[in-house]
Amino acid sequence: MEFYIKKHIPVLLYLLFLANFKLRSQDTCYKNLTVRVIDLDNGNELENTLVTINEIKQTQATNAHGNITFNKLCSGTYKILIQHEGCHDSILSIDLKKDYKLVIKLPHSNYELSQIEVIDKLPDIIKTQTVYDLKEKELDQTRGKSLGEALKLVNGVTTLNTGSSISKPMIHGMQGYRILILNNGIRQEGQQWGNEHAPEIDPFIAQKISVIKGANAVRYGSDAMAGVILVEPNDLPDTASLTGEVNLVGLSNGKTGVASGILQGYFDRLKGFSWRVQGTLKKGGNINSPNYYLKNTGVQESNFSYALNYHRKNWGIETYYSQFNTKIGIFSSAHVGNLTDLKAAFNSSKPQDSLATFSYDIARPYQDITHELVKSKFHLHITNKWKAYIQYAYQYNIRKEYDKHLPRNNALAELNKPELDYRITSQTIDAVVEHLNIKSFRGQFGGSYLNQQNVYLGRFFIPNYINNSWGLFASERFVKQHIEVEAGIRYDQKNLKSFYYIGNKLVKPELNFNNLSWNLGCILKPKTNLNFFINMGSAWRAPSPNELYSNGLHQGAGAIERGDANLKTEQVYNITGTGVYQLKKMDVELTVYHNQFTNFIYMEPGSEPELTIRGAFPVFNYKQTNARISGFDGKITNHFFNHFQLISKAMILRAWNYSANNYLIYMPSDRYSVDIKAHTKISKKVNEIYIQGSYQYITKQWRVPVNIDFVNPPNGYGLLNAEIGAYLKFGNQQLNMALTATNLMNTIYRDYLDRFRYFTDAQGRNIGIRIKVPITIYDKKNKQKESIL
Amino acid sequence: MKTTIQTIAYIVILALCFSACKKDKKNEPNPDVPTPPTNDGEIITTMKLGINDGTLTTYYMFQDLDGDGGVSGTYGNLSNTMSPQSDSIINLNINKTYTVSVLLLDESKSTVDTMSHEVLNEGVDHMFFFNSLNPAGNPYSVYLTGSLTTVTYLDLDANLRGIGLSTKWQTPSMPMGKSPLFITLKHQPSVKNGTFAPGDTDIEIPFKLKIN
Repeated sequence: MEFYIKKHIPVLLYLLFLANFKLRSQDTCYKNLTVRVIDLDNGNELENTLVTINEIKQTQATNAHGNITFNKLCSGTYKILIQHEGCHDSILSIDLKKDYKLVIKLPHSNYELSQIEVIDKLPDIIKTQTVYDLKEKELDQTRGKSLGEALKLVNGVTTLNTGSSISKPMIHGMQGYRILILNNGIRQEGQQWGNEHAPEIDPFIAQKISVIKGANAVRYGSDAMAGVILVEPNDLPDTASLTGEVNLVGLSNGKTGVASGILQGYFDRLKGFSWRVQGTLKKGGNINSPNYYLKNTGVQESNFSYALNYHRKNWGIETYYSQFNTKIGIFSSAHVGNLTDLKAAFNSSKPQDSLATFSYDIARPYQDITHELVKSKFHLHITNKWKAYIQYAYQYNIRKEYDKHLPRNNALAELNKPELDYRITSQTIDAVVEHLNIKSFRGQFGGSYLNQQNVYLGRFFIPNYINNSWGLFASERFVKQHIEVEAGIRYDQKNLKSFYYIGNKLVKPELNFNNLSWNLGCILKPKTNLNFFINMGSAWRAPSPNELYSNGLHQGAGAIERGDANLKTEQVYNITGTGVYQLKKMDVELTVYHNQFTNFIYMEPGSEPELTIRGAFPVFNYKQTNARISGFDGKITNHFFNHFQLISKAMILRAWNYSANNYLIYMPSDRYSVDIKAHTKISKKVNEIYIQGSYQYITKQWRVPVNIDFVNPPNGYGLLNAEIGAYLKFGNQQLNMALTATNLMNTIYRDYLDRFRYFTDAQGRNIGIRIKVPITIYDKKNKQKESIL
Repeated sequence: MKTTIQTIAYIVILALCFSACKKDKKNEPNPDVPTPPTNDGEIITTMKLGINDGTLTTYYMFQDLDGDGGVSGTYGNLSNTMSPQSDSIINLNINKTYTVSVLLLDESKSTVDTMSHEVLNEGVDHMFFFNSLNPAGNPYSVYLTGSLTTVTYLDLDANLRGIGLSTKWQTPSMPMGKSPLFITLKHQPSVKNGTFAPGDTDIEIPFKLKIN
């Protein structure tokens, strides 16, 4: 113990001020101690800092604002241990005589051999934008759901669905190419060109999911127009340990089972090496709407990943591999042919195949998707203030879509080939140099390169192409106590060569695009509990190959889609402002945003259906227009009686197509939700039990262009969800168990942003059980800490 | 330093071992040589109606050589036939019985495939419909109200339900103006019950029928 203190006495630990709080009680054992932990370098509030009071053997983690309060302390001297990943552990003494507020500035940039993997996190997100994290408890609640569904917890995020198993995240009404997903630091390069193409990511890899709303082109790529989604695993351990986690989820609807496990460790003998293996299995059958089963809506998923890192004092190398495999049945009544069939489906109250029973079998039509990612990263701490990294990633994506029927020809039928078969291979290189505080400036600059090749083996829908892109960026941030200002600029160039046949003639168009993007932001902090984030920026994207050249029947969509080879670059100017105000019993968070688009690319229905041998099909042409999307997200959290929490949310969005002087199609309607939670700690063993109920109301989307959609938008609906759960402590492990219910009232509804609304009611009541078991086989770090105290 | 380099080399090699990707990759074509449009997928490009009045056969056709999308389909102009028709109007005479046979082709291949053979072989899963009407009676037939014409199925599947590749058309005793005639082939695997509703549409072509 003496040794420890000696070693750590000279740490840069600042007691900023010891503010008085009104004495609440004369009683000696009613003192409150509030600890607030912030980063010495940048003033950020440090969440998840463990604060331990030795004398009462209590450890608590700081909340998102870096705060933690210990209640009902007696007067006296306490030893307090502060632990934060990437920082030195620090111990200080405090003589508690009345309520105290203690502000601690932790130095973030020191490291030593036992803590090598410290600074080498993803480069900081652009800090002048508000970031919405799903961590720990919130993330626990999303287990068993797809990535898209999990993201819906973030206010402002909705999904574009194809039934319950395919959901594409939408930020402020924008999706697909306008959103960037970073999976473990790598741009997800899957096949984003269809509305029934969900991101190919195992959500169980993530120990943290963040959403940055607003144009964010500079750091992540020119096409981050609507926002960025970061899916991040935990850091690998840096001391000898072997730990893990098992997640089990069972759901009544679809009789779905999900099992996922992580095991990670640090070799005691092989200094510097740490590793992780992770895998997920999922199987579900036909889901049921309140009145009938949906035939062929099963889903199967098997994913795994492994990571191996090696770290020295000043450098490190990371390798990562992941594979995502899924087979998704497409509701057979939704895979319809021509306009006559579509109209018949719209007009019938029940789908054609509504007599189906439960089954796990997945028959035609279905999708079979594989996504592989290999990543290698090398980082170097040049000096205390300068660091750099370079990373290479290889991604291979296979998308096979099987039509409803086998070919009539027996020889062909025997091969059972997918009718649509697309392969995309992407290679990316990123190099970034960062500097910490030089005077009050922090910044980063770097470059990225992408090479992508697309080939098709089955039916033509989009052409083969080779895409080469590169970009350079620089960004600087000025940080002071009450204000932060940031400015960044980026230049990108893209070359797109496409190869396809017109008739029997091979054509090879080549297109070049280049443009600048920028962003400018600031944070104003008039008070510690009141922050304003204001950010504006521009972003652009080149038209994608399907928007340029697609020409054919989009089987899943039942429509003929026609690209336009003359499409120009789409550009957006975005301004987003957020205010965060924290009061004692209430947190308020309000965001307003405006996106001004030039050459916004969208699909416009053609005036005449096209005649084919299978009858008439509706035609959609890719067009460009000037458009705007603006809106408001609000969230108020109230805490009362110590054991209750009420969260109220609202999301309002307006979108307008200037050229057509009309609404934009497929935009989320306004929605409101309330979520009430009662929670209490029962004993040391039962850390928390809680009961939670939430009600969400989605209004009817009537702001749609008239006479363009096949059927009118469905009515608004309200859904009731509930959850009962507990966090139990067994030794060092914290076990989480919960009983959940979504659509508790078995409400019959159809959602405007679900393509299956044309054919069927949405999923009915779904009861689930969720268990999370952390595993610690051994952990030297924890033992050290225990012995210190 | 040397050991450092060795370590890096070791890790990179290990990383490459990780990237043992799917074997499928090897079967991929190069992006600059796309799969030709006439691949081995199966499509019906052409429907020919042969209408025989006892002595003479008139042919009507609908053709969409590049399948769904691309260039729109057209009503045929048949060379090599006795009496080519170039629009969607089928002209028949009063008080006559015609034998109508349907021929389905896949002309996207270098060797033309006769798809009507497959339909006949899988007769229990396929059925033609006229104006989406459910046939009834014995013999199996439908009555087209617009043209007062009776269409009787001449071919039956193993379950004694009509297929419709071969039909008999009985025209009325008075001339009738143009009325729509939709000829639809439904694919009804395991659900064929003699009615129009189940299954999916393989072919749907709008003609017009005129009785002179």
